[in-house]
Amino acid sequence: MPASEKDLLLVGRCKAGDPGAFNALIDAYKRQVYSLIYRMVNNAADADDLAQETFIKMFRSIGLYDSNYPFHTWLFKIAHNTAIDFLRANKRSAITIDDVENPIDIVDPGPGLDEKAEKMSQKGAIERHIAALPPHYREILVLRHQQELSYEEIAGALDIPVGTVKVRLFRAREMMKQRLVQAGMGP
Amino acid sequence: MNCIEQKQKISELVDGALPAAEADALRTHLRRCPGCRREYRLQRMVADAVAGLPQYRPGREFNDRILLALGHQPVRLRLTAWVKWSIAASACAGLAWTGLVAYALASRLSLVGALRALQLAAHPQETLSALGLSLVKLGFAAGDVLAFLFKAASWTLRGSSLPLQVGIAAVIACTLVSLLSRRAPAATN
Repeated sequence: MPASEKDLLLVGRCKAGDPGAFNALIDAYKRQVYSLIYRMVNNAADADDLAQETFIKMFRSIGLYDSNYPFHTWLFKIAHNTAIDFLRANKRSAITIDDVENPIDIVDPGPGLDEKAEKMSQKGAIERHIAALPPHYREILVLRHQQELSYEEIAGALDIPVGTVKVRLFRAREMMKQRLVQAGMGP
Repeated sequence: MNCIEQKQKISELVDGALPAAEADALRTHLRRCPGCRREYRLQRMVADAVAGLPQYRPGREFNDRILLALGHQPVRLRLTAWVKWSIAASACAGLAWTGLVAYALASRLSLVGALRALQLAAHPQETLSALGLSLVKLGFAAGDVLAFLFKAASWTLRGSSLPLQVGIAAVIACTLVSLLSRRAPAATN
């Protein structure tokens, strides 16, 4: 799937050195890139630095971008490599549920708790369960369900075969499923 | 095909990545098999839970820091020509209206008086003389205010002892110094 027309236009202007196009491209993708990296490294300050580094790398190598592929897949690939390098350097890849700063706190929604508070507490619990997964599982779940990338796009972004994407997604969901069921959040 | 083999297929069904024929066959199986139906619901739950999580936003200076690192100045909001002209026209209309209201108030004009003001606008010479009169009146009023302030100051100082006079002078001096230092430009490196 080639890049969208809007992306191609912005990339073309970026190649010409237009700061307005740089700004527009950052605005278009900063939330997606930051959210992905944040969920990989579990730290807001590191995520901010790494997302910034991702965009700087992207702009510096924008001449290498092949417009036959979607732009966001290429950008996610840079974000993935940047975050993985950071995790390797800091050896944070093996965070377990016990390592998370706040221990699991599955709130039993009592009769006085309104629906909004219940949803918020559930989201908080889901967030903590995702944070407890290994980074490559967190990443693939976010790419598939939040960024809504196809198997092929994920394969392109992570530089792995489509078959590996299917297996990794299946295992990530299995792990997440078990945690949610153990926490009494099953259907 | 047994139920263990179906698990991977269910994962692909949740992702909408299963070919139509296989998806139909799996849906038929799900209607008959409570175990696989539960598996589908669980996988769907995980997918929905992740999809429902919020996306985060980086800090405010994010774009600026990247642009500066790349050797560019941060991009500020640029107004198009028609937006600038619209703002200028609105500002002029607002100023004109404020002036008219101020003039009406200063002249203590009633509704009839306001109509008179519009008539004055039609006759520039009369208007100018009226405005001149207003300025003279404003000058007298300012003079009255200054005279009152001087009277108040002299009344306060006349009946007071030397320490009170020195105290008042010190307060005035401090106020003046603080006002002047506030207006002075900040030192830069």
